[in-house]
Amino acid sequence: MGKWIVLGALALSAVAVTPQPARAMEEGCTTTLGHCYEAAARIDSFWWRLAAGLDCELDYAECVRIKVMGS
Amino acid sequence: MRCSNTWRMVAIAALLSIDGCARQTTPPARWRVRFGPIVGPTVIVGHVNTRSEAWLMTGADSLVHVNLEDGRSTTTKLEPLALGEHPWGLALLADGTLWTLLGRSVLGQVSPQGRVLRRIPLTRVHVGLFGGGRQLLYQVINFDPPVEALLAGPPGEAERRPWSGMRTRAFPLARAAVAALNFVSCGQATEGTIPCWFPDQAAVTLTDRSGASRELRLEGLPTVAPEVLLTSENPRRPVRDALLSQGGFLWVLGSGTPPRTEPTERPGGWLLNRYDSRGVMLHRMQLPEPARLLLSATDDGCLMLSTTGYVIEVHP
Repeated sequence: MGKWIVLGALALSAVAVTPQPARAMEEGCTTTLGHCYEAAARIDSFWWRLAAGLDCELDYAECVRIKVMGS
Repeated sequence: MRCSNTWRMVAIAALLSIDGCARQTTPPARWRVRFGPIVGPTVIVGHVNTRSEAWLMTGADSLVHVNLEDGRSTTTKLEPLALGEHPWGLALLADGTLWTLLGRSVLGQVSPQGRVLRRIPLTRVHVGLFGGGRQLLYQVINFDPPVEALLAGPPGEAERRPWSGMRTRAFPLARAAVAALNFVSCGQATEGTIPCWFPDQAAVTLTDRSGASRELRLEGLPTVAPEVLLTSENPRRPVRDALLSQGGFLWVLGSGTPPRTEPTERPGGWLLNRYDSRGVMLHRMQLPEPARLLLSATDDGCLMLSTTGYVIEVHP
C-alpha cells in the first residue's frame, strides 16, 4: 500500500512543479491519476493492488495520448 | 533642433521597419475551402492518405473515407466492437489493407466500409500503430527508457525488429508521464520515407524503407515545457502533423500561436511551415483558422482538415 502512496505522491509532485497557468487548465488526466492511485492504494491484496496501479498508469497514458496525439 | 528632428524621424522609421518585419515573418496563408464539412468535432485518432483518398478514424468509433478529388465522403460506424472497445491509430499497408488497434492489445483489420474483418491478440500493451509499406509500425508502452520507440513487422507475426533510430527518452517525472512524453506520431509515407516525431520536440525523424533515419531539427516551431504539455487541456504541440511532398519538401502543421483576436483557445494548429530536405524553413504561414491535420501535399501547396471539418487548400 505504501508503494502506491509513494507513486501517487511522485505523480502529483510532477504536477506541483508545473507553472501556475498550466495548473489552472489542468483538470483531467493527472487529477484522475491521483484519484486512481488513491483507490488502488486501498486494495488489500498485493497483486490486485499492483495490477490496479498499473491500470491507473495505462489509463493516464491513454488520457494524455488523446491530447498529445489526437487531431 | 534639426538634429533632434532627424533622430526622431530615424526612430519612427526604425519602429515602422520593426513592425513591418514582424508582420513579414508570419504572413497569412492563401486559404481556400475545397469542400466539406466531412467530419464533426470528434477527435481523430488516426488518419492515412493516398494521393487521391484519405481515411480518418474518429474517437466516435467511425471511419471516414474521403475522395480528395471529387469531394465525396462517407462515414461508417466501426463494427463489431466489444463493449468498451475503441479504436486507436490507423495504418494503410502497401497491399491496401487498413489496420487499427482495438483497445490496448488487439490488432484489428478493418474494411474500407468500417467492418472489423480480423482480430489478432497482442501480448503487450500497444499505444501506437502506423503504416510502413508492407509492414506495420508498432509502439509498445514502455516505462523504462531508453528503448527503441518503434518496432516493425508484418501483421499477425510475432517477430518484430527495431525500426528507425528513434529511442525513448528519460525525464525527471513520474513513469506514466515519461511513457506519455515518449509517444510517437507518424505522418504518411511518401516514396517510402516516413516522418515521425515526439510530442514535445520541434523535430521530425525521417526514416526510409531500409530503416535508416535522420533527425531534422526544425526552426520556427514554438515549444513548451514537457510538464506544461502534459497538464494543459489544449497543449501547444510543436508538431501536430507532418507530410513530405514528392519533391522532398516537408510540410509541418504546428500549434503555433492563435491571433490576438481569437476569443477562445480553439484546439488545432495555427502555423503551417514548409521546409526543404535539410530542414531549412522556406515558408512560415499563419493560418486564418486552426487546422487539425494534413491530408495531402504537393511541392507548392497542401490540403488540410480545418477544425470545423472542412477540407482546405493552402498555398504560401
